[in-house]
Amino acid sequence: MIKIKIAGAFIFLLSILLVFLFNDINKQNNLNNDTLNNIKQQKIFIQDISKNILFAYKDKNISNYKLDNSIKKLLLNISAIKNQNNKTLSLYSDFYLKIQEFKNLNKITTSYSSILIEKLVNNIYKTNLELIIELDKLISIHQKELQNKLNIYKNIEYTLFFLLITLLVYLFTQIKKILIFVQRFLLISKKMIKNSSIKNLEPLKEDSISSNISLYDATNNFNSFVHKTNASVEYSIKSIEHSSKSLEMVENNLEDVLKFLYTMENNDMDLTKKEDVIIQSLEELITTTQNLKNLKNDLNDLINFKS
Amino acid sequence: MKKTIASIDFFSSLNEEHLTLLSSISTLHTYTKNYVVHYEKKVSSNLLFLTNGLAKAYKIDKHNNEVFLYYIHKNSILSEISNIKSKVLTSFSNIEIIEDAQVLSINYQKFYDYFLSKNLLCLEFADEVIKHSQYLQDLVNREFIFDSVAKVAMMIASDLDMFNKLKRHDISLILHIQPATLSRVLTRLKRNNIIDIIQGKIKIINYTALEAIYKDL
Repeated sequence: MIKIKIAGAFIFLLSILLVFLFNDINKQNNLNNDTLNNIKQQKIFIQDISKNILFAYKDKNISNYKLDNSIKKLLLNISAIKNQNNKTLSLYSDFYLKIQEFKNLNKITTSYSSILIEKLVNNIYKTNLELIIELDKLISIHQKELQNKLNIYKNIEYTLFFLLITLLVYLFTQIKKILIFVQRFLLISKKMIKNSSIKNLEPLKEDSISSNISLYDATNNFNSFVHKTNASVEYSIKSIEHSSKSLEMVENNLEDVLKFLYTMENNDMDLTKKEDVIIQSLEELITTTQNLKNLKNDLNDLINFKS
Repeated sequence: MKKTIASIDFFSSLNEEHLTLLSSISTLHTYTKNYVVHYEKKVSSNLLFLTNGLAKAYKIDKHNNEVFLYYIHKNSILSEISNIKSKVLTSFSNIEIIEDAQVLSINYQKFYDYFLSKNLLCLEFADEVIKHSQYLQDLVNREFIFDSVAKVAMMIASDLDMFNKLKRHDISLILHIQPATLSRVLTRLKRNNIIDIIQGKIKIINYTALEAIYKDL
């Protein structure tokens, strides 16, 4: 019974553990997806900024609204790359500085500034490409990490699930043994009721349930009860019979004494009193014998469930 | 009815008016031998008087054996009074008619209201309760104090007619002894010249010696 309790407790714990694990995996998935989405959005914003810089370079009259809007969005989502490596961060800083520089230079229209802007636009384009490559690398690293994590979680899940199934199978086999024991117990109980008797009770067989200590103990206790009941019934019947015979013997002896007294033909007071005592003793002996018979009948009624 | 009631000693102190009143709340029944007037633990609203005949009180033990308690002779209350304040009567034992009998049945509540509550027949009523107590004293003596010889001696001395009228088996049942013991006691009394047995009937030869057997105990 202790094993079943322990197995039950383990099943309960494993079920709770699995629930927490599922919950944690979901959280991790959501977090990683958010990060990847942010990085991908950063990529789009960087490309948008580069494209708008190129347009602004080609046409100075064009509004800076789109460029400013893309820069604003890039800065809003900057948290996605905050924890990345130094190279990416320095590329970001460099890219941002060059954009600011472009915005300042683009307002001036001299021949020297045109040379500087051309050079700057080329640099922005290069930095843009490098950043895109770095962010692609970042995405692939994140995806790999996510895959690794998911694999570990999967393995843990499979192990816990396997343990759960094993425990359930164990529990079922243990319950099956208990059911067999209960069925046998019920069968014997039904037999007792059907026969309306507790005489010659059959003990339970121990063959298939002997491995379970609790059931083994329960079987032993029941069998011990059956053996003791059988022994008590037999002993009581024998005792009553033996007592009845003994009483009959005493009765016969007293009868002989009484006959002897009758033959004495006397008027002695003491002898008369002794005769009275013998008469009373015989009366009590006969009453006791009858009481024993009643007791035997009561016992038989008890054995045969008569009320 | 009125004449029958007047003939009972219990009601001898009542005047004509009271007798008429009592007749109005009473009925007279005739029962044959072996009729059980009431069973133990039953509740009855009627007070019963045995005006004629003979009855016996007995109980049944767990082995369905009859345990004889006492005889109830004519002009005695059949009902058992266990609680004077109660408006109903609860019987302690079974009451069976032994000889064809006439029983006067009185509505107990009305009897209580018309007579007992007005201090009429109270002494007679108390006397009947004492008589029942005496029966129970005899029963205690018979069952717990006397040995078999004393039991038989007391019955012969106190009610020889009844002893000769009953079968030996019935006597042994009444005295709660074995038939063999009764036979041994009678032999012992005859051998000591206390009684004689002529054609199965008992005749007392030495009454003093017979009385001494149970009085000396």
